[in-house]
Amino acid sequence: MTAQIRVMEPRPLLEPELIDKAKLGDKSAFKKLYQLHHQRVYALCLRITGQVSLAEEATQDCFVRLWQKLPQFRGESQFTTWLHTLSVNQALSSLKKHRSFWSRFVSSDTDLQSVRDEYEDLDKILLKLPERARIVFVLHALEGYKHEEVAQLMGIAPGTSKAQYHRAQKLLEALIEQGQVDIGGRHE
Amino acid sequence: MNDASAKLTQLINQAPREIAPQKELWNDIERQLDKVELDQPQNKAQQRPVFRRLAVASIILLVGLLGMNIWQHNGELSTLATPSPLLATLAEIKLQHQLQVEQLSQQQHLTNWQASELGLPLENGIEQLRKAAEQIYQALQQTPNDKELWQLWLWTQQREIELLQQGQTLPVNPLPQGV
Repeated sequence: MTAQIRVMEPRPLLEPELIDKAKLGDKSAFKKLYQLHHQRVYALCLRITGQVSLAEEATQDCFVRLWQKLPQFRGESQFTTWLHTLSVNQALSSLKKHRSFWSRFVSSDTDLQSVRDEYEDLDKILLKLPERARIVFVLHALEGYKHEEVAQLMGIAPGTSKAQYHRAQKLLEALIEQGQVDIGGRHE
Repeated sequence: MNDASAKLTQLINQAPREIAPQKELWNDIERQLDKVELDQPQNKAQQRPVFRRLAVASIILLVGLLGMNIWQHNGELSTLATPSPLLATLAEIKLQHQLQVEQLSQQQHLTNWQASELGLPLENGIEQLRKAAEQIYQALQQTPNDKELWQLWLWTQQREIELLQQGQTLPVNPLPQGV
């Protein structure tokens, strides 16, 4: 009986099918796309913005933007690659928008405290980096962008990207030496 | 590679690709999607008044331009219909020029350079200038505001006077008294 029920169950839709349905305005298909990808997008947004509240806002903005731009996706590249590029741009845009006004009034210290016990070791110390150094480090070291690509995304010179990466690296090493990170504590 | 650098490399390699948000974000996203859908027809509706305003502004502009054009034509017609001060000046200058020519002609009776072979080219030139001046004068009566025509007309008159004065200086024998 159980076997029969299993046979009767519809097979889960593949990602291209979900994309096609979402393009036509199917919100349930879009929700499934969200469920598949939102943790990856959130991780990217959190590391770029450095604040939980801003990362949540940026993640929401990413998916709203994805809903708007999805009809433009023609499958010429991988959907994950396309979504990744869209998310990076949206996260940077959200950060810029936020910085221009709210950052004058709101400190990120609260968020730093709240994430200290919540996230993995690297993410704890990443939040202690200066904004620009953190973004360059995340894009280059974690997301695999070249310095030229980082420079283009951030509107800076490639040399500046390299310098910021070097700075971030030194600061992170200093934080590790100070014993602020328990290496492998969570993973081993 | 020092210890801290090695540890950092290890942390990068161990960094999770995915992080779960602390709160559920889908509900807010869904609300925003609904808002996006609602906004789209509104945007279209908002475009209509903009289009209407643009159309009204275009019509006003068109009417204005047409009105200005008609007004200018009327101005030109009224200029032609009523004797303008320019036409009076034109007639006065012509009269003065004729008087000056007459005075010079009286002197011609003393020299009679026209009768000599040397004076023939001058005489032809003067004749051509007079014909041209008359044609320009008639054109000026139609369009008295044309500055270039004015300059050309005054030049023909000036040149005629100069040629007449040149004729006076030609080496010809003066007429005997009483002829």
